[in-house]
Amino acid sequence: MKISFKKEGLNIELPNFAKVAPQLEKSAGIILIGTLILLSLLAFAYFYSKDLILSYNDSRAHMDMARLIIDNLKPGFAQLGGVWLPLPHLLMLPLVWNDWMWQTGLAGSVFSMFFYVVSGIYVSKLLAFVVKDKFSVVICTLLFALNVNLLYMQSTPMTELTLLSFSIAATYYLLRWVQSDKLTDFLLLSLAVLLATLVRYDGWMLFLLTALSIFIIRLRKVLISLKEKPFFVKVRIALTNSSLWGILLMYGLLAGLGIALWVLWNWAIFKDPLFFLTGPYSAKAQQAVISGAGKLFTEGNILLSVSAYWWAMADNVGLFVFLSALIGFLIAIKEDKFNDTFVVLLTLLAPIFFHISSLYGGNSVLVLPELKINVTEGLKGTLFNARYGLMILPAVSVFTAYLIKKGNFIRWLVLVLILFSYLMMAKEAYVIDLIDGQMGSSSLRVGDVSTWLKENAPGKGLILTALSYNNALAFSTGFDLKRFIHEGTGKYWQSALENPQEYSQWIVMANGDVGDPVYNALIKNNHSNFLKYYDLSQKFDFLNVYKRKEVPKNFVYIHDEQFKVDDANLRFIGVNSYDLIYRSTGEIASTLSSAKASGFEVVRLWVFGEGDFNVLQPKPGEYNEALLDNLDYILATAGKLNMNVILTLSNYWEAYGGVRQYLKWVDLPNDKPSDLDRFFTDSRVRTIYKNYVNAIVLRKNTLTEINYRDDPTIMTWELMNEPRSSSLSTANVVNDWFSEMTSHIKSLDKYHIVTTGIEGHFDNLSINPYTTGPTINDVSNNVSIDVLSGHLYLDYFDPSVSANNFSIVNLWTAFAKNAGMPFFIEEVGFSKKPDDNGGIDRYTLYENLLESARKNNLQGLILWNWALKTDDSFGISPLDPGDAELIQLFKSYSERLKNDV
Amino acid sequence: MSNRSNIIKINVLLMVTFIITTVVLGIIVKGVAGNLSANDVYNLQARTQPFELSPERGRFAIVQSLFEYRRLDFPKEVARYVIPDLAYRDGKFVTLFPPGVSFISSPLYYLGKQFNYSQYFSFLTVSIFAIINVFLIFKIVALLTSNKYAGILAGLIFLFSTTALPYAITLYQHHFTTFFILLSLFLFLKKKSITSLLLSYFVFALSFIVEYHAALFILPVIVVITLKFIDIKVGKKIIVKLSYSIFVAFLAFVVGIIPNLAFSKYVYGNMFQLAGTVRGVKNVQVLEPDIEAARSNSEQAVDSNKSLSNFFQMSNVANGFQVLIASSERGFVFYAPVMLLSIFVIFVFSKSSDDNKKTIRLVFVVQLLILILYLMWGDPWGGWAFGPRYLIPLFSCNSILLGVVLNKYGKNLLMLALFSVLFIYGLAVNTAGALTTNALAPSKEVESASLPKVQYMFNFQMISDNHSSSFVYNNLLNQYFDLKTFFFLIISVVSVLYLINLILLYRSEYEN
Repeated sequence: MKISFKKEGLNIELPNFAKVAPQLEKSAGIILIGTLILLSLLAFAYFYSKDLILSYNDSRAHMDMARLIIDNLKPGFAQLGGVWLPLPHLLMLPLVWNDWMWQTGLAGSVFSMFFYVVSGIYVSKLLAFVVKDKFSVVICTLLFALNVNLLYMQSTPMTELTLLSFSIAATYYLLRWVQSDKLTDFLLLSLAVLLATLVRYDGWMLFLLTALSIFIIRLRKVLISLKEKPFFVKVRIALTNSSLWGILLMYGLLAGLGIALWVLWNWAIFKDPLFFLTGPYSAKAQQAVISGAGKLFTEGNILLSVSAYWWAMADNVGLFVFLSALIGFLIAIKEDKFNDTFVVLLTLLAPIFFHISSLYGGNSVLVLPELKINVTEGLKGTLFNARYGLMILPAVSVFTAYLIKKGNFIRWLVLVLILFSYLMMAKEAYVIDLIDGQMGSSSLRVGDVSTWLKENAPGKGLILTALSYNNALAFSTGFDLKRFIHEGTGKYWQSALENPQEYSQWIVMANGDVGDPVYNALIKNNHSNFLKYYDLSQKFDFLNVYKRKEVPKNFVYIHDEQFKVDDANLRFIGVNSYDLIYRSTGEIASTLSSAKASGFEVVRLWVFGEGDFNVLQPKPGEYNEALLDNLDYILATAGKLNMNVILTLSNYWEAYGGVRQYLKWVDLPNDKPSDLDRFFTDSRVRTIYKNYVNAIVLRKNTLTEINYRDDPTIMTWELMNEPRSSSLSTANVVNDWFSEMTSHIKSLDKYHIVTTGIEGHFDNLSINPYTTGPTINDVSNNVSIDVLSGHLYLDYFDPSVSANNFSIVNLWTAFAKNAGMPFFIEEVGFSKKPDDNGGIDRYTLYENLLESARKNNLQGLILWNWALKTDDSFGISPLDPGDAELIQLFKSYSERLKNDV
Repeated sequence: MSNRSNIIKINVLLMVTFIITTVVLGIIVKGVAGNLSANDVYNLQARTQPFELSPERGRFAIVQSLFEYRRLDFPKEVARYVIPDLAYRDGKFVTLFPPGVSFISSPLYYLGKQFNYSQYFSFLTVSIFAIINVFLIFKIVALLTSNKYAGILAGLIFLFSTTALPYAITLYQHHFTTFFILLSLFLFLKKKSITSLLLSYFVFALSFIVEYHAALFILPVIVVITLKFIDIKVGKKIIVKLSYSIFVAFLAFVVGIIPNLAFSKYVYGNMFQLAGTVRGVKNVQVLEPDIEAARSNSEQAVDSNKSLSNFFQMSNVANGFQVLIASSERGFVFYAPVMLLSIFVIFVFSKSSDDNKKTIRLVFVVQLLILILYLMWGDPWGGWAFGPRYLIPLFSCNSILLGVVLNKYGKNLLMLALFSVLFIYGLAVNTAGALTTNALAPSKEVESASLPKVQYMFNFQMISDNHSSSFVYNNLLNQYFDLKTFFFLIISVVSVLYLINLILLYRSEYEN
């Protein structure tokens, strides 16, 4: 460059590059490839440095899909699955075994980058073939290569670039073949389409359109050769032309081989050739949740489907570029007049046909802000799968070239518009495909979940989670893939969905009904029964993490339908000693030690008393410290004797205050049974009850210095003695109260079992004559309840199921087993007077009952009532010589029950 | 008729047109009597009052601060009425607007103050520029087509049949932006001269102080004017000859940009700080009385999200298109449908001279730029407004094309009828807006949708209800007739003026 100052102005002399253009043209190929490689590397470096490579959940899923073939609880090629097409994952296989390549996403990005370069080369070749004008070729190749959405996608392990390269190559070779008729071009075309059909299903549409193009072009050729003949004759001859059908058949066999192989694979692995179309992980099935919520707006709506894909294209390539291409397309129609070149170029529009038909058919979802619709909630639901529009970029490049070559003014105007569009898009916040991956529905931000898991779930414990979350979690936690139980782990997966506690230490699942199979299995279909074994450890935005309960040593816990302590089953005979807390410490010690000596392992007692000055709770919030000291003493003593206690926290009946006293405190009527229902619903009463529960559960034993909630002596907290609703129709008020109070206690004490105190009535009046609720059926449906219980007195039940053979025990245990809950009888008593028992002496009754209990795997029974005094009704006492034989019977069965387990 | 008498006739017509235009604008300018205090302005924010919306308050505030308080930042009593277009910087309440509109209206404010009409006179500044814009359109069309009737008609269409009218009588920037664009186009059409070049660069620089993107709209014109002074010869080497005038023109640019830089330096502490990018103060509480609270509220005075590029997004285009083109609340199809007729310029273009083709292309590019920019604008509604106010500069360019179309189809009765129907429709709609209120909320802001779907129906309703914003009507003419009569009177006068020009246009070919 030379600058000189002349009289008329400043002169700048520049070299004329047009002179060196021919030399540059010779090296055009190298310059093009060099530029594409440089752009590819720069883009990757930029997005990698910003940690954006794996933003898409699908990008992690693709990496996992390949990795799972070699690193899995159940490795093998079957991990390729039956929905996503296999080629991208097979390509990644040689690299993905390396932890670093896998974790960084590079094992997939390398291929995207490679195919980006290939795509750029083929776009350039195609442009050179079609428009000839060199300026247009250069500009439109750059239009393709510099698209920031493309540069982002080529940096990720997604499959778009792989498909694009095969698609453009297919169009290029089709064009060449149409003009040259060479077999090599035909074979290369077939190969490109075959590979495209194994990358994404869009490739299948390409297969159809290329076949259609071949048909039209060949048909036209035959028709032209028959120009002398009448039209219908020509058509008839053409349609029976063997060459036409021969070529189509050959094309179908070669290019369609991938599709055929995929169908066969689905058949072989999943026993259904159309598994990819109809299986539980097919696109249609995945959209079912959105469709079910009435938010798959494009389904059956052609205008919205077109509009959705229109904006996807515009947002990906830039609106003004897109409009330029549209004008270019009209020019192409005018200039090419539907000639063979134009027909071939129409194959570049395959993505339009594919996506619009998919959207309309409900197989796909595509959401963009311009549509002003939301498939979920918040910003996330306004953007989903925006990248689908990127597939139109080759067509946009080619048709824009038609416009650019039109003339100087338009050329520069379009150039400015392209430059402007691309500058506007060259900002992270405007790269629509990046935003979708980061914030749209295509993203899955599990960073907080994985951070939490890394801190709280190290080690080897297995994690049950669906593949859709597993992909993201596996990456961001860096855990060994063998720790995850997901759809690809065969029997582990099936078993874990039925009995998660057998395998999984952790469960990560959706916190709502969004189609998560783990959620469906454990919460929707199994009524959250898994919560017996798991605690909700942490809630996140859309995921919950559950941890298998780890009960401290000596605590009684529930596993399946059994009580357990330190992995051993616990079946027991216990005694009620309802008023133990109101006894002196001496009596307490003797009562407990004599019970222990008689083989009883569990004592049930009443930890309530309301309204009177000498009971546990004289007034709301006022507690009798002396009696609480007694409770401390009971627990300390029972603990020493290695016994468990069941603490009943309130009474439905009037004894010791009960429900009526609670109602009196808040000035509610308490005469009729229906009045008593108010106990369970009145917020003031519920608050008094909760406060009382707080005082007991959170108490620290003054003798042992152990917090009650940490004391394994306590076997269960029982909400109430014999709670009832006034009628079957109001059972829900009590059942709801159970839920609320159980949750409340569990929020204070995460280890102890909570029982309800129900008497175990069935809703079958032929078994029991009671018309009050809640029945055992109601309670078994309450997901917050862990245990079922019954009270057995002969007048409670029809003689046919009680005294005669105690088949009631069988009914109870069978029912509980079916409900997946343990069952125990927490009160059973027979009168000492045979006349009260239908003439049967109580020894015989107990013997029959105990035998029935043993046979029916009853978890426990608690006798009514053990005291250091004699009576002539139901009591059992070590001081009553008449009970000695009976006590021996209990002792022997206590041993037998222990040994039976 | 002889040429001389023809010229006299045209000049008389031109004079009559401008007199009537001046009178019409003069009697519909929004206002109240008196030299207003800050408190008065604060209390004049109701619908139909001269400060019903924040843009006019924000711009008037600078003038008021300048003359009444001798400062460019705002005293607290002024700041109070500037909210929400108020910023706080370095202990001072400052404007969020470039100050050009305020500066230009200052002389008339001062003059009006002498007659106790400071507000009315300052608003009148905009009307004067609107009339100049009509004149510039007339001149440009006349230069392009040699048809002065077409030029007058194009000017009338711009002012009376688009939203240019309601914004010609209140303190907004649009007519100033339009003026700079039209002036630069006019300079482009003038014979190549150093004066034109210097003036165009000066205008280019000056436009920044009115509205930053005005400069962007002018840029293509500046580029082509500059190209007139660059000679490129391609041979073995490429020789680029740059006239020294370009460097002088650059100096003119520097001189023109100084007021803007000086203002930014004084007010924001940084001469390159753009007004709209300063963090706004939205809460009146910060004005009371603890100034330190305001300071802490504005610790980060520059809002990182308010960079100029963030205002414009491609993703806004769909919405922008719907709002500015087709919506019944702001779409130009509803407010200035006569603009659609510029499509016929396509048929004129191919038969135009090369020079005219260049001009038409240039006008097209400027329009495209304006359209693209505002389609990408986050708030295409222009806040509470009457019609598509952002498109006023585009309408001025489009009116030039309409002048070209009218020249071509001046004897086509069907076309003239079409023009007339659409002109009178636009005249009625925009006169209704001008006489009543611009305070129409975007429908997205009004949940209860108290406004009719076609928002200008609300203005017609206000005409019926006799609610006028016109200073002259409210203070004088309302004694003689109601608003509806006044409305029809204005429409009639302007329509007659238009039709006379149209008839003369129709007959002009035969006369010539």
